[in-house]
Amino acid sequence: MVHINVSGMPLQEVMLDRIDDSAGPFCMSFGFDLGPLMASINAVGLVNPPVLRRDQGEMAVVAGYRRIKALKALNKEKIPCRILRAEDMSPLQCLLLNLHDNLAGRGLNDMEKAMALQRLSVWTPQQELATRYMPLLGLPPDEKGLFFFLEMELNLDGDTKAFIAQGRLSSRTVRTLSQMDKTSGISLMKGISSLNLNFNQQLQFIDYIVDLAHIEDKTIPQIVAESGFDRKDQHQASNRPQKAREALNGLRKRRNPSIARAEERFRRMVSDLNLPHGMRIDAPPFFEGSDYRLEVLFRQGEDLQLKLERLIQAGRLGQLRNPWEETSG
Amino acid sequence: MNAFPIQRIIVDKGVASYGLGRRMLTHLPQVPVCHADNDRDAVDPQDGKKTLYLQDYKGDFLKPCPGTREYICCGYQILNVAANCPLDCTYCILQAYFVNQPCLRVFANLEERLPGVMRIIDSHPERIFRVGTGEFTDSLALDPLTQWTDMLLPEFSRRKNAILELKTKTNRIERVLASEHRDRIILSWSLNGLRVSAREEKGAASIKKRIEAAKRCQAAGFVLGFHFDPLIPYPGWQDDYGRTIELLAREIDPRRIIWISMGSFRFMPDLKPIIRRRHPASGVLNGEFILGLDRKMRYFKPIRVELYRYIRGLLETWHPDLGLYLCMESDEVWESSMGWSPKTSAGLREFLDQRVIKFFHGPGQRGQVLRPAVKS
Repeated sequence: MVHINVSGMPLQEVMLDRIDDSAGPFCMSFGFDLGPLMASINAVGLVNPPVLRRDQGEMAVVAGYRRIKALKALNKEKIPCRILRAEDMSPLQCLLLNLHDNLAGRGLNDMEKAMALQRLSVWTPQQELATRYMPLLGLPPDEKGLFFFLEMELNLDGDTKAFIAQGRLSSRTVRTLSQMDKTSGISLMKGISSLNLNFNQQLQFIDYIVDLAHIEDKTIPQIVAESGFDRKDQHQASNRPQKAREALNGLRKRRNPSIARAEERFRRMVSDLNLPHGMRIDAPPFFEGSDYRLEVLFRQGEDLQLKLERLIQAGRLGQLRNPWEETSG
Repeated sequence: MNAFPIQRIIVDKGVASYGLGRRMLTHLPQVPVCHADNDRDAVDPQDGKKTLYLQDYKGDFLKPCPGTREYICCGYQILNVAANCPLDCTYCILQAYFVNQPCLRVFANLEERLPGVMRIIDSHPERIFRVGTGEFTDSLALDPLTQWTDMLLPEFSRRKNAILELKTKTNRIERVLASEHRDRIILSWSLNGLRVSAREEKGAASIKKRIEAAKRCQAAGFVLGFHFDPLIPYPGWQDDYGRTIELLAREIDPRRIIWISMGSFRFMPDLKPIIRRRHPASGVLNGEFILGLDRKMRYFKPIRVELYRYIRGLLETWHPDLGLYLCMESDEVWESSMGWSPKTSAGLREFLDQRVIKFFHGPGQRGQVLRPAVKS
């Protein structure tokens, strides 16, 4: 195989309908917005012509997948391209050409990194993928992480992939999931995407599920599935934040039943005090400290005086014990 | 024969000129030795326990136990002889403390620095120094190699204002038994439920062997201590801890136990991912933890009270005067589980100092030389 100077190759006009624009063997684009690219082409034309590879009459996109999508969306008929013959470059060289072209121009999102690794894995041993290409993609050189990324590309549904491509999975979450066995990691990722969890919620979710799997001697996918977190139809977009909070709260109660029962008992106890409107009593965090906290909302001194008098008259106040004893029934 | 899984020794410059350093190198002749200025550069974290670092330790050898202001602490003094431990308990907090220094560090210049430590103790004759080597390592696990006991027992045995507590989960008592010194030396064993011991204390002696070792030491004239720490609740914990206490009661004379402490599992939040990674089958994280006032994770208070109350009940049924105390707990928890409270750390120090006076001074001397070391 000889080294080809692609940028020195002559341009050829190609009919757009002859180019296969499915995500082919060299593609590493996912979850992108065509709008800005279409606007750019409209404004200044196609600055950087795509590179194609002709193999037995088929024309596969090597570099410029998004440009071709944009040009098709703009109803262009033919475009200038550089065309490689199959014998000019091996599939691996084509893949690397596209990888470096992308890395030079933009950062890849996590789904695109998964696509790149999955396509490279056809031609490259796993150890080399981990040690050479993962750092190139900004990932730690770790084989466990590699398996996780390969699995992401192969086994996630479109919605979950889109969630990841939009950068809605924190890097800490990705790092945590990539250290797990791939089935567990994928299952948690589906749950996170389905519940549309924010960065903090993602780590809390993982923590609860992992703990519950240990406590209940189940697998992580079992816990996720039996809770229905992997089912999209459970959560309408409009009430997703509420669903996320409910889901986490449910997990918290299941993870820490004694604490949940204590909180409920405390809530009932405070409710039975019939505090004046605008007053509340809080327990110390987790009932660990010794001091209650009383909060009073009032408008003027007279209002405060009235509320304090009513508070003192609340019969059960004197019977309040230490916070944690109140929760022990 | 190398009875320890040491595969590599790293030494600081000049370590061979120290007695302890020289002895250890002699005891491990077949283990490759390399020199390093910084063990962090040289040690693979995964092989920490297989790498022995003979360090020319520059820090203080005697330090107060860090304790915590938010809970009642006992005012212990730590004699730093080593950092890290050849045992591999799943719950060990040292995994997080020494995450960047994972090898077994033995301070090779202990012998040379010991006179300085003893000078500090001698300069406060009015105080009682309760000193232990078992906070950052196991006191006896490496003793066949380090011969710490040969060095330390004579020094502490002849002081009137100090005791030395050797805390262990092993039965490596040969050198201790060979020593002629008994006075002011306390041999302590960490104990746990049988299932915790079997599943979570890798490399430690079984509870039965620990108690057998304690029995031999008691028969040889040593005062004993025991530490039920970390207490870990799980389904059936009551029976398991009960069986451990039964074994204890069968073999040990309770009148020669200076103290028994209880502490529930607590840890810095950073330890959790380390345990998950290093010990994926461990059950120690299964309990209901809350973030304590000292920013450590600890069991929800009613769970702690239940643990202490139950074990206290078993122990006091065995013998009413065992010097029971709680490690790093609040006044409320003391009152609820023990029926009394020292109220403050100074109060707990006084309680334990009085135990020292009771065990190591005749009635005629009590209170004459010593008074509890209450720090102002």
